[in-house]
Amino acid sequence: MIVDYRSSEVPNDIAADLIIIGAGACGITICREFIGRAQKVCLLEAGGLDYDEQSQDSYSGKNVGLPYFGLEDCRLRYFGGSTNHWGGLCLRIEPDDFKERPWIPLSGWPLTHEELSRFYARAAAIVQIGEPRFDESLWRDLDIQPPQFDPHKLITRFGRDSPTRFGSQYREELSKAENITIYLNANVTKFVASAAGDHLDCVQISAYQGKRGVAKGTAFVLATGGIENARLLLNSDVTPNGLGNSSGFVGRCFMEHAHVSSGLVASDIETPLRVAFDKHPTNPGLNAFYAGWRAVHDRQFPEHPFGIAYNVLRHFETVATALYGKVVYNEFGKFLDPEDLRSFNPHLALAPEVQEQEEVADICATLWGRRTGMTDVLVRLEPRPNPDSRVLLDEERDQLGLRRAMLDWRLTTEDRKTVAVFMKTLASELGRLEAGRVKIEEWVLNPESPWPTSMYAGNHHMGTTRMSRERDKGVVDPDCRSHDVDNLYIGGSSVFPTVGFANPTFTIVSMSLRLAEHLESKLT
Amino acid sequence: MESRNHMPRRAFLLTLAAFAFGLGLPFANTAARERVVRSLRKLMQGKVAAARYIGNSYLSEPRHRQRAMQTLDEFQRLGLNGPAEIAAHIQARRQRDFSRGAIFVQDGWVFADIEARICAILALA
Repeated sequence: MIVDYRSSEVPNDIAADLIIIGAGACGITICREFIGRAQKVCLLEAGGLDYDEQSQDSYSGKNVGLPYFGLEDCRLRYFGGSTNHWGGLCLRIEPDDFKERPWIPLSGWPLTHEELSRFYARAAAIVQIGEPRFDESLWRDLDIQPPQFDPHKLITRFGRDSPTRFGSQYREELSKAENITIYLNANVTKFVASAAGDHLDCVQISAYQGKRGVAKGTAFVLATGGIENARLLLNSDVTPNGLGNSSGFVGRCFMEHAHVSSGLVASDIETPLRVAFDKHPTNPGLNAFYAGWRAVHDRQFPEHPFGIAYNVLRHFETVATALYGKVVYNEFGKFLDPEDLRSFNPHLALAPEVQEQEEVADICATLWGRRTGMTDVLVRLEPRPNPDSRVLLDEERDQLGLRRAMLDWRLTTEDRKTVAVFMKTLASELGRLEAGRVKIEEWVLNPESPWPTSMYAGNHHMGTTRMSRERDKGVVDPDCRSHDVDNLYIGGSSVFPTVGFANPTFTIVSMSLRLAEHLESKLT
Repeated sequence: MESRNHMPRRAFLLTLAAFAFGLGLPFANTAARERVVRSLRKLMQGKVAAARYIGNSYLSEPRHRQRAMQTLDEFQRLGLNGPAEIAAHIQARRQRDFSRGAIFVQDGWVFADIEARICAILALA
């Protein structure tokens, strides 16, 4: 059943076995797992069925770190959550990503790849991508001879395109479930816990029009996204630092996948390498997908600190066009159509930096013995867990009286080194295979350069309620249960201790299935 | 190309260094070496100035001079005289260099070490 909490016919106070806060990918996935079961489930959604300015305003906040999207723009506050503007790209976290890397502080998941991967087939069905295949086996489906990279240096992974909008896809099914009630326009404003802050009694809920009440439950799942999960916990006055925050990690280790143009690859125009980077939307068995490569990281290769994927921003027919294109891109923040680019060339040809680079490129091509086109490569960077990169609270309050979020997103010098190592590895592998030549952007190689203004991010908000085995190193345990509050669980990418290069939604759904299984066992 | 505005001092010093090297070492005065250098020039298809720019940058690391000379000696020892022979040799070496991560980065472009050495030989010639 779906009801509007604002309605006078809906009681102020609610009771259920399981209270889920937030109807995004995580909340909806967990809810679906309880359809037809004995437990009564209540799903609290702060927004309605569609976008609403008043509700969305609670997501407004400040950016005080690296330039970032407006906090009210990078997530959505209505039924379906941010899957309502999700790009749809699915990838899995690599098996290696679960392992601790002693040279990376705070790395390692307190669960294994095997513990999570048993949920991948069901997660793939939920996001409608067919088989959960992301690896080199997809080259065969493409009928492309793959580049023979040294598997100890680079691996290929394919992103799979999901068409799923969780809100519209699963709304009818949930509305028919007798044991599930979805309350729209029900904002959680306060956690009511025991005096010691170790057990949650209920949450206070509020509608903008003034209606107030409480939702009582046996267990609670907080699933409002990587920024909002931290904001709601930090806003709680149950304990001085916020609820569930004895470790001090709530809000810390905020991670995003920085998307940044990091270089150009010169290669023959019609090579399989280039074809592989174009989308193939006509393959019905695989959906659309693209190829990305990641530098391998393990003990043998500590110089590869973290993962990186890349895909192509744009193809250029010649080296000169690519160089001109880059200047325009840096100048105007966007690529122009080839036709427009041509009209720019007479002016840009005078630019000394273009002229110089063209000459060096010419030597590269001469020694290589080929005339080439260029592709601009977009790196998607896995950041290190950095406690100084964090979600904080602003002094300003929203209309419900909660302090607004303030985001201090940071990257480190080590993160830049990751990009440099990756680009050099890519250059060496393409060079070894005589498959392409690489030009690395200056900012990558110069530690004094700022991160480029063209850098953007993936709307991936991760790490702010990190999972850890030890209670002083995180916020939730391997079951996603708060280290401090015995009946509070946290879902979504905020629990990721490290993030790989994979877009997070597929992992969020897999983790949600795992959490649902755990909750079922606890609530039976 | 050496007259770029953004690094005149460096280019000047490198030119001096190359000049001093030419005076101080028996570089180009053997016929075999001359043949190799001529082939390298042909290989570069008239882009010698740009190659020298890269070579001079490579030579700013003192130990690289020795490497460039070793390569020149190697070409002589192997009897590599013509541009085609040298190009084939460079290709094999390039793959080996990339395989072991022996690279040189100039203006962001990633060269195999052998390619940078070729440019250095032209800068020294």
